[in-house]
Amino acid sequence: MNIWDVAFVNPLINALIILSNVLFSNFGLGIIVFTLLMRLATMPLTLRQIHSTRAMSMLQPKMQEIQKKYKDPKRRQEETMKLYRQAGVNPLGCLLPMLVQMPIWFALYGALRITVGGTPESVISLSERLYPWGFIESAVPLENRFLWLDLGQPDRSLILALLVFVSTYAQQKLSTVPSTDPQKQAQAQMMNWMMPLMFAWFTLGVPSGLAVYWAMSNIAAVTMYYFVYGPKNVSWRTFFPAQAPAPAARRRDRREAAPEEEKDEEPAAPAPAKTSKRLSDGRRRGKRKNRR
Amino acid sequence: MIHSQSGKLAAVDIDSLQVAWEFPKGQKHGDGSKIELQAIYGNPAIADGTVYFGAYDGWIYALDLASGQTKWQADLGGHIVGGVVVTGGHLYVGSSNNRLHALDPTTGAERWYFETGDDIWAAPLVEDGVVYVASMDKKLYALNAADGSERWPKAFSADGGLATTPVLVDGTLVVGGFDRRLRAVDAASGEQKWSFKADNWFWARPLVDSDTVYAGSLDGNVYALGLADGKLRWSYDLQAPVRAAPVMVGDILLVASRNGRLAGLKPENGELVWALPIELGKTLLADPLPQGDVVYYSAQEGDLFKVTPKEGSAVLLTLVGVATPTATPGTPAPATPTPSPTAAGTAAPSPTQVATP
Repeated sequence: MNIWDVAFVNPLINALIILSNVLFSNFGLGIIVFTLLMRLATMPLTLRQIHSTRAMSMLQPKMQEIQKKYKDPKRRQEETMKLYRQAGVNPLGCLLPMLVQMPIWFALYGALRITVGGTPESVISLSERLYPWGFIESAVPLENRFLWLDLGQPDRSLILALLVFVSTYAQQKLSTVPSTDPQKQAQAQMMNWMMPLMFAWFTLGVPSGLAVYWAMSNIAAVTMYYFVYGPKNVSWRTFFPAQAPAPAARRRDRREAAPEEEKDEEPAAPAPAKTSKRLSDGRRRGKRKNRR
Repeated sequence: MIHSQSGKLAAVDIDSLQVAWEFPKGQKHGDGSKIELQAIYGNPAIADGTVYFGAYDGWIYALDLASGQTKWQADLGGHIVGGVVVTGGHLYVGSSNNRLHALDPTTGAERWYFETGDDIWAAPLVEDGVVYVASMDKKLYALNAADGSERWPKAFSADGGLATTPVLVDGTLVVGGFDRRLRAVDAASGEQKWSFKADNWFWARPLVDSDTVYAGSLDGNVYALGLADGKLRWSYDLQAPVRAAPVMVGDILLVASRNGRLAGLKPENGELVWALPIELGKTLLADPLPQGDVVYYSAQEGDLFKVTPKEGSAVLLTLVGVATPTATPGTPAPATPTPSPTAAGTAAPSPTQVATP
């Protein structure tokens, strides 16, 4: 067994089984609570990622302006970096927390894949990873029935696939860093549809325990976003592709709408000093809007 | 011989290796829906010209031995992992719906069932009008074969799930569990005689020969223990989990690990008979079928091997009309079987011999 399994995957497997044991030997509840706990543990990193993504999205009007104004790529880059500095935004801020979290989520995915198993032969692999503690071993085989699901088998009812699709789409929408580049915009838009479709497709073929984990992980991320930025910034409009709104609605939307909608609109181009102040704190911006 | 390959059951002529028929191959459930076996884990049983087997799809099937046509089929409502036993006018099979079912072998009608506290993954053992059944609820039950009533005042309790078919010798039942222990239980009273602890679970059906119990563990070892006292006599490390039952062929104890390593051992001291173990390179989980001087192993990938312990050789059998060609002997060097189409999600039961030649 390699060091990755011994150091990361196996502890998670044993923790997952202990948790299921505590939760009335309900493996489904174990997966849900375990996913939420892991989300909670990685919350500081997730929050940094969310803040950075949001700050980047707010810079989009200014960045569009820079792109229009400066044709020389070098100058354009200088101005962009200057804008980042003024706004106190690190373009890697979106990426770094995500990279740090990746191994954790890979290990959790690996742990779930092995634990859910679903077939008798998969229990043999599981046996090699369990700590020799009676209360862990006595939990095997795990109770795979949860609600209408057999957690070791794919869910053919399409309910879970739909839940995974919707939750992945919502999570994807909120975590996408908008771009001023129309080509990148189009790519992002495509990914916003492709990723949920892909995961929904996977759901039809993998043990439903894994799909429960995907759905719960997404729902937890969206909920976190909602509580950080409040209902004013995460409305139902956030999750729909921007339409061509009426001018009045457009102005209102510019204040309330989420990053993805803002990137399709004309640049607002506020004064640099003011902008940088606002950009450093999304919540404050929300309060100002309310006063209006 | 009945053999499982690629999610199908096949009847094979053991001499010509010609596949006589395959199941389900177009056959359907009574309501017209497609039969999808998913996997076949348990050993089939053959009685009165009928092949009986349970599949992971939760159905039990009775097929005509000559044609492979369905005589009857019954949905038991839970994955079937253990094998079926047909004896005394009853068909016994355990299911993941926690029940041991006793069915009428001619119609599939249920005669009685006994409910345990968890899945049943082991085939029952039926001896002298008593059905012994191990359950994942950590208990071993003794039931009257006629009506399913309990014989012991209290079922025998272990500390982990019991997934092995018990073995009965001289009034002693030997059963292994997920609590890492192999236990001997008095068949009359249901009281424990002794237990032996390994470093991982016992899932392979033990073998009792003379006064010795041979048992493979998922810790990679095969243990030889005294039947009377459970004392360790020797152990042999196969270095990978052992799920397939050990078999005795002449004076050679043949053991196999999950990663396809076969070893012929001297039963008295556990020394390797051959120069080196044979490496089949396939996943061996199913119990083998000993037949005279040879033993048939069915790999999870669907391959069928013929092993001759005396020669220390293994041959990949090419089934006519089904498998890919080539048979590679290994004497005693490792055999290199030609890969054949893999059977994703398909477990292989032991091959079952129709009639002794």
